[in-house]
Amino acid sequence: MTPGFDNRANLQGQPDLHVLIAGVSTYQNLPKQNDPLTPESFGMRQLSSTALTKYKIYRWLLDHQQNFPVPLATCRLLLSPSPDEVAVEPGLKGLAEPCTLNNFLVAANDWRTDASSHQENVTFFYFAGHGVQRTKDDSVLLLEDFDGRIGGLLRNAVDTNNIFKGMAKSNTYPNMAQTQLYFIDACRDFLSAFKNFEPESTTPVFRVQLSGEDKRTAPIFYAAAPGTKVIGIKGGQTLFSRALLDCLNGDAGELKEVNGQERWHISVHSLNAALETKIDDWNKTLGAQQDFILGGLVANTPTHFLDLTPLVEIVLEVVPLDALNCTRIKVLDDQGVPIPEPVPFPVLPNLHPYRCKWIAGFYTISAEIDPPDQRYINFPGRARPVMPPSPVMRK
Amino acid sequence: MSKISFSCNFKSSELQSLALSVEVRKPNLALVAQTLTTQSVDLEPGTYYVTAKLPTGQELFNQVTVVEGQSGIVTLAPEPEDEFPHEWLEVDCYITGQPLPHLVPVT
Repeated sequence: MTPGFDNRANLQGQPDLHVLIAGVSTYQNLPKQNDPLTPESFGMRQLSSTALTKYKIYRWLLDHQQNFPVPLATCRLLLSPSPDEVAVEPGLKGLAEPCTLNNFLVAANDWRTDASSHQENVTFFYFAGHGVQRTKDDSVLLLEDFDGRIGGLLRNAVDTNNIFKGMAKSNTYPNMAQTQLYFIDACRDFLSAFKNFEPESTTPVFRVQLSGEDKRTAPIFYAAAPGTKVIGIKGGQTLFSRALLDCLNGDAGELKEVNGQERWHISVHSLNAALETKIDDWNKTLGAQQDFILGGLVANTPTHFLDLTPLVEIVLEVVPLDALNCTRIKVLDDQGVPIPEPVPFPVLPNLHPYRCKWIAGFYTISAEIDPPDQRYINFPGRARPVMPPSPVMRK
Repeated sequence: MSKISFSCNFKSSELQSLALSVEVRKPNLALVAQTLTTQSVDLEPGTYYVTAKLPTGQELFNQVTVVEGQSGIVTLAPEPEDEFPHEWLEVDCYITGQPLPHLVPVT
């Protein structure tokens, strides 16, 4: 199967990036969104946002391919979109092969072969679709042809652990990529169908060799903690992917020295920290209960670089609210230069708390009572860092 | 290089002796050092911003200008609006995160 994006011919012998993205919204054997559940559907229906999620991740990777530590060589995409998603994003139609078991096995094995060409290669794996758990710590990914009626229940499903272990360095793959990023955007809840049976087997994606040391950096970013579900916006994308894209676009940015040069970049640690913050924010905003958990082999390494200093969302709140009409907010940058009218004065009540985006940096934010009012006092500012991910400030 | 150490300006001895995590950044936000308030760091001459984090998440800030060959102490204190008049309130609010007790008039 030829990758959707293939630049291998131009990158012979160089370390490079190999991507596998798989997303399933339409399941051949599950009821549609409003159809009644069947005994073989085990409480699951077709999904509405996962293939679109994958498409957005795919587009992001193509658009930012220059920002990775190594150039993008291959991007394999398997998508089973829903009609609603195709209506929202016509680019999905015919873009990729469907995410069936056979297609997944072929794509994953080709991906592994490419990944094993150089130890400095980087891999990127993203799955979005239905997921289940058989034990407290596993993560099973259901593919488009998942079928609860014939044969083993999980015949057309794969195990994240098998993929992860199969991507380790071994005698057969001594030059396996040593930086691997995994994103599992799927539920991890137990199916009642499992409880009266011996553990069901998935189809192995790889034979896992026991040989070889395993010192790779290979974090697995799970959108769901064990026993929990992922949340998606109907016809939109999953909350996890939305938070992830925000983080990759700068909300997980940090400025540190990399190879002797200060560069804004996203690292495994900064992504982990920012995802926690972003998902907490989304949960508060939407009243959702989306979890996020990090697994795998975690070491801190830059995942990609940012072209510009990131913007940070600021929320400015005047306390007490009665002082809103007479509070003028003044902001100085780190050189002491005033930012011209950082917040309109007076702030209209419908714009309060006031939200804006500033370039990350140090700012001195003060509040002046104008005209003076003996009920309130001025608030002298002190320099504070304004940096990702989006601090909330109150004045 | 100059040696810079940290001092926490709390009222309570429990908090003053606490080892808080500290970040030292350049004005462009580049992280220069991560340490504890009980340790010191060696810094090149220049301006730096220092942030310490309390167990409950509140942050203490200060700015320091480092001069070649001169050691210094950066004092870290809560923002004036976050300060408490009594040390027993500091421990409750900064360590355990307990809200201030409701004060009622005694008649």
